Amino acid sequence: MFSLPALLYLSALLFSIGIYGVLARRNILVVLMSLELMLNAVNIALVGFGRVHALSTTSGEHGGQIFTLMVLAVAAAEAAIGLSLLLLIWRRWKTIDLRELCRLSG
Amino acid sequence: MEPLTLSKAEILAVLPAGALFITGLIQLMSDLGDPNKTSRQEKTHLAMIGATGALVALASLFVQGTAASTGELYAGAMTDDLFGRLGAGVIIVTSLFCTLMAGGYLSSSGNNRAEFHALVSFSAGAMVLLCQSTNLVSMFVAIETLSLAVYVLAGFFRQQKAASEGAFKYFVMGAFSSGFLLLGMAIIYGLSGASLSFSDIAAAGASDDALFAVGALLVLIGFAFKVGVVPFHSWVPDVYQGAPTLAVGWMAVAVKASSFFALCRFLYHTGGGAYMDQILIALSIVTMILGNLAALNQQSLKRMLAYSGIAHSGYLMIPLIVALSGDDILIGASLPFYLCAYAGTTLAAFGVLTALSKATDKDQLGDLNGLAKSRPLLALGFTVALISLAGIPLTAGFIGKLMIFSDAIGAGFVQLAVIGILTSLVSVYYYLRPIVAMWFRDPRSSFDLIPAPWGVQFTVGACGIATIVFGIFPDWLIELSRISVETILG
Repeated sequence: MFSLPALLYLSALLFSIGIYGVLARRNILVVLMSLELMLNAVNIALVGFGRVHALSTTSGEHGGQIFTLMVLAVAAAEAAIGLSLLLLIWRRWKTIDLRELCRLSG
Repeated sequence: MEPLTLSKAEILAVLPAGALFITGLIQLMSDLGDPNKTSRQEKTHLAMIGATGALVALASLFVQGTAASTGELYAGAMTDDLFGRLGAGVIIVTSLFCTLMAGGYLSSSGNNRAEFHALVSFSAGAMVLLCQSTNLVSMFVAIETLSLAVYVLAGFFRQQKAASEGAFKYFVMGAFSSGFLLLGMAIIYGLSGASLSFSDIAAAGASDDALFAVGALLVLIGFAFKVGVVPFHSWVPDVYQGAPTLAVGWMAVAVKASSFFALCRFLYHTGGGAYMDQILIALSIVTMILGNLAALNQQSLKRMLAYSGIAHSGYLMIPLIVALSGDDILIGASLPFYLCAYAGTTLAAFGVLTALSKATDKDQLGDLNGLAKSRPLLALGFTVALISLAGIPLTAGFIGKLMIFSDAIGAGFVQLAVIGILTSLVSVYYYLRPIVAMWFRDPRSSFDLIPAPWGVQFTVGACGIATIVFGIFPDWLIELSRISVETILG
């Protein structure tokens, strides 16, 4: 069963949760997870659009799916960089609380 | 499906970026055994060979014909036109100069690891691809690759708290904006009728849709974060202050240039939707005013140059507005010229700061007091760079601003030109302060240069001379910019 609007609603919901997490949470680890959530929310929309376009054309167009694979690779690289920066911050400050970080650095 | 084949043009088109990526990989491997012992020269020479190889590869593109666009390559993922080559040229030359300066600077601060060269090479390769990309996937992958490399460069001095804090702030802001960029691309893809390439999106007639305007706006927000346009600029001063001076120079020049080249191509192809020109006008006005006003009172030179870079992003949006409003995109030709002029002058300015950053970064205004007495040539180079950034005649920066403002008036955007000229007058104040400090104040301390300062001196000299030469004889570069913009639409 395939329904594009349902997928888009799910995608929008997850994206909004991601935005909320980045803006409102103070734990760096949760912020990193929220950033990943934003990218993966868009992936759902891309897969949905790709499916619709693949059904509507006969040429075998799968741009959305290919785009999603690329985004997955980018998201993995981004997580690696984010986690290594998190480790760096833990070693310097002994905290992963964003607000404490701002207070310490002044 | 048709079988996968590679034409000669396709192979040649990826050679410049390929040379840079391979150089980066070799750099990483060369540092595996003993990261501290390999001599400085080895790493620098390797990086220079790589960048020169990329330049040769770029030159080999011209063998196929100088001006004509060779059409879509890799099923529309990238193209090889003069516009992309111009952007690639600016980036590769900048990376060559950064490499020249890197060895002495890194070893004087005890951080001479090959990762720096590798990251510069990786980001340069991604920037070259970004300038050539003509579809959503290749644009997204290129902009993310360059961002990831630059996040690490910003926190390269990992002993310093300011560096890791700046890098983390940059990372969160950058990744957040990438989410919006990607969402915008997904919306555009959904409307495009099964195609990811810019020209098909334009041809599908999707750009009249209101939803398309939302998608294009989200893409614009993503780019605005990368180049530091005002509502999205809060990371710029902090990151510039914490990051190594040389990495700041690289970010300020290459990230901004490649992002503007890509944004320009995207907007010229797709038209940007219904409200794009009004949004760009608002962003440009706010950016010009706030960037210049915030720069007025900065004591730190890096923060001053950060806000000055923000202000220049505001000027650079004027050609996009002018081009989008008219039927004739050729009036947007001032953009490549201004970017070339900006690249040369900013590189010279950061080169001088790099040369003085022996052991610790010197970036207070007072640190420059009396520089002209002991290092007259460096002071002269910095003076030329600042005069050009301020837009005073006989420099390339003046010609660039003249082109932008006269285009704006010609297209009927008098208010933009007036605000641009007024804010440029304001900017003269903060650009003149370091000049006064260098030439008319008594020295506070001695000016020891970083080891092997010839690389920096050569860079500052070459960029300074180029700034003056293009300020007096700009015709050749103006003609090149005009032809390159002409080739965007093929």
